[in-house]
Amino acid sequence: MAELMPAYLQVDKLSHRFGPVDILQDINFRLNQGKVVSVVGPSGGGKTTLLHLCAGLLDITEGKVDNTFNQSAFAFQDPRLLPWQTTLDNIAFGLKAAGVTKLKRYQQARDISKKFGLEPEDLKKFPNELSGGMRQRVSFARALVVEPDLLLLDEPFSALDIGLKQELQNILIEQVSQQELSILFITHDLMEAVRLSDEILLLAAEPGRLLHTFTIATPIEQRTEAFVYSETAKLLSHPKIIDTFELTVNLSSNRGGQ
Amino acid sequence: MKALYNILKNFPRYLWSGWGAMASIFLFIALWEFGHYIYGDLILPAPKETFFRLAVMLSSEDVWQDVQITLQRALWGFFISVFIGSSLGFLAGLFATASIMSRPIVTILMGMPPIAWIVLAMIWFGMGDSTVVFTVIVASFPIVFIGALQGTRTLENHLKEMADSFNTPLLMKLTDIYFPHIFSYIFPSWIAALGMSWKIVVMAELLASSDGIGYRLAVARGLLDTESALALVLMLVGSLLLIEYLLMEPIKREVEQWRN
Repeated sequence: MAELMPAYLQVDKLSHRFGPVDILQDINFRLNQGKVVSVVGPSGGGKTTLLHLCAGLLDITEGKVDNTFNQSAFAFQDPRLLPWQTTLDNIAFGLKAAGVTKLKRYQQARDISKKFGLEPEDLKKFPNELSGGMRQRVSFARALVVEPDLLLLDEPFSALDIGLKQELQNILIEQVSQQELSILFITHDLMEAVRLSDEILLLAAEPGRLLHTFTIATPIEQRTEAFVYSETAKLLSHPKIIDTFELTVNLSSNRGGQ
Repeated sequence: MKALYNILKNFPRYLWSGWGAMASIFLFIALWEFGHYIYGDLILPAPKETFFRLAVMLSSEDVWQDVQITLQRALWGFFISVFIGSSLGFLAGLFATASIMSRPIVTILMGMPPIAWIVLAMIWFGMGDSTVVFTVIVASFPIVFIGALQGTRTLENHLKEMADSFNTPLLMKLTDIYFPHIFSYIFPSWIAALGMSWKIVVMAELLASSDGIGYRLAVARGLLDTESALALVLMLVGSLLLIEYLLMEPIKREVEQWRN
């Protein structure tokens, strides 16, 4: 089935306002199955609103979002675990919501927890007994255990140390290449966007509108650190990026150095 | 069911942790004994005599009848205030206007001394059951109301959003998110209200009733029978300690273990 009809997320002429304030204006893009699209832009630019509209967490008032994926999952910037449930129950939350029986959902939650480096004794703990990094692992496990074909991420790596960031990103890269997982994610870290995405959407603020789309042709799993650095440097010197993020450019500095 | 099992399983270890508390109670009794040597029988009867009197009391059927009457009044008042307080607090918490409007009223209710309510209730209802139960209700209602109100007001949109992202059905949102959150606020308020009920019921009985433990206290005062008065106080404090430490605390530990 999936081979015959690849799923997609199509956003057409999407606009949104909160009261009199325009948050998003005329957004158009398409996310195909097995692809990763990231949205970058300054804070307050409506990135989160865009993601919530795509996830159906907000009602669409103007424009269209066409989502043919079977199962989507969301991971937030903060882990958003239920404090009164154990790690195991937290991971299994989405499965329970989907009506999976207790035995089955616990089994699946246990299986995925190994992949995220959670020990069996961690599963019995409550969130406040876990470190911040552990909680974010749990949050990721909760999102991926429902086997989504579309994953929506709202700056999920921003509060993590570099080691954990890399670990979680590698799991995602693996899922994208093996399971044809599609990801739409928000970030303010250009290097992260370059490492993970096929397309980078540049969103300008006030009102949020799509300024430019950068495409990176090199397959994600083939991107080396050197490649990521040089691509990021190229992006950072792109006039539209400089303009949107209001970067001050030091002309005498060596381009591509950082 | 599992919670009940855990409570029973952890109970022996919990009891064992009570030695420190026992030591401090015995120290208190020693001080009492010391006071007795200084002030004599009339002012402060000896602990031994008092405990002996308590034992005599507990072997008489009349006293048990009064205990039962007092307990009934306290529990009626408690359950009614829990029911009304929880449901009204929950409703008020759902609407911003209602919660803003109810705040000052609750502050008035909390600030009003129970003794003033007793006087009013005696005028309204006369001497007897309804006066006592009424006083218990008005004294414990605001505590429960505030607990329920705050529990409902502080429901987080973040967790709701997370649940929505998984298309969580409403029933599961209630059982997994809303209820545990509200319960975490409401349960401590129930415990506080139970303690309040137990104290208020005796006070109300002392002034406005012709039976119950409070009434017996009034009689002991009238006869200058300090020993009986102290024995009754022991009974009240003892029962409160038993309820608090043997019933409430183990439950609290089980249902709130995610907090610490």
